[in-house]
Amino acid sequence: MKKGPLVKYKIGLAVLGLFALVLLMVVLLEAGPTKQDSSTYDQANTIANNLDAYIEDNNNVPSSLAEANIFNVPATITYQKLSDSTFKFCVDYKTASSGFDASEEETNLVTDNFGQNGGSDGFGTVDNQYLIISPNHSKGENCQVINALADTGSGTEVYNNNST
Amino acid sequence: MENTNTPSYINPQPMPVTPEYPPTPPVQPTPPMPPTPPVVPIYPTPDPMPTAVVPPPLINDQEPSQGPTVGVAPQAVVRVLSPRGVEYVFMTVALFTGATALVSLLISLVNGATDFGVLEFPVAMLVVALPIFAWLFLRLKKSEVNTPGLRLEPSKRRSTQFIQIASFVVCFFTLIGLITALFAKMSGSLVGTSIIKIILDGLIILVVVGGILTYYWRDEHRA
Repeated sequence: MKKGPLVKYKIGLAVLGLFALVLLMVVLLEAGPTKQDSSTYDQANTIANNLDAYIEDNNNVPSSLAEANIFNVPATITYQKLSDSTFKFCVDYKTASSGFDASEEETNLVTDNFGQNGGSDGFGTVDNQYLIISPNHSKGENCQVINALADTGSGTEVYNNNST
Repeated sequence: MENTNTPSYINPQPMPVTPEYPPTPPVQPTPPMPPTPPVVPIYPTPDPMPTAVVPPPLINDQEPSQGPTVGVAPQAVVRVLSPRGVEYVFMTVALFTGATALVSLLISLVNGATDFGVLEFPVAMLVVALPIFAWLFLRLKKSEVNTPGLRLEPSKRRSTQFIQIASFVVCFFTLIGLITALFAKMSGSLVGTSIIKIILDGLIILVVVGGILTYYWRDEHRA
């Protein structure tokens, strides 16, 4: 049996296998922190809803989360009152979540539909005065400064402490 | 005694034979026609159709079915793949799945998206598709080396021709997309998207899918 012609194919497939193995290791290493981030996101979302409800009912920003009857806050979430109408809300994530969709990118390229990827880096301007937690975020501390008592449409800046 | 009862219209005398028409002259021999030049057809004449279709030889000395066989071409009602053909279909599925995963992963890496949510599905696709493809590919390649006639088997060629057509269509429209992106960038209508990343995305698709097309194109056209 001839084995010579198959050697080059075996080498190519081995290189691809090595590439897949490296990426598999990356995914396995990211699984644990992603699970923790998912829990952090759920808790931040619940806190944000309760905080928005408190501000809407009382028409003022609480000095602490406990004043708004929000307890058991994880260490990855921090709240700071800046003024009577503004506050800062930070969530610390261990990994990034870009929301990037490669298959959508491929489809857009083949169908000439550019710039339609729904991915977001988690930064930008929120168009209301409510605290909204985005599922797309960067690694590290993601903070929002909310002007809770401002008129609708004033805009609040969302930024990342690591990049500013 | 003379019989007087004989009717008058009966003439016992023989009638004299007189010619009614003048005698025809002897036929002159016609001179031979000059040979006509051969007719040159304007269009090429197709080969004559065979009068009967010869049925294929029977396998294992089977008796022919009832009815005339002359002029009847047997048609296969059910078409099935050969055992090797089924393996080629499996390999084709694994190849396209693996190629899609590879392209997705490379595009994600080029765009700087390496988080778990982006990588989990393409990595799962690649981890499943790559070993299956590698096993089938090497197994079938070994069979082709040992049995060169396998390269021309219809079941195999059906799969490889489908791969070539699908790869060509993807490369074709990717090139159109790339040129359109360049035009859009030149006209200023491409806002918020990096042209470099779009070109890299297109190159990744062209290299992976174009590589598949090139391999099977050369394999098909090899003597």
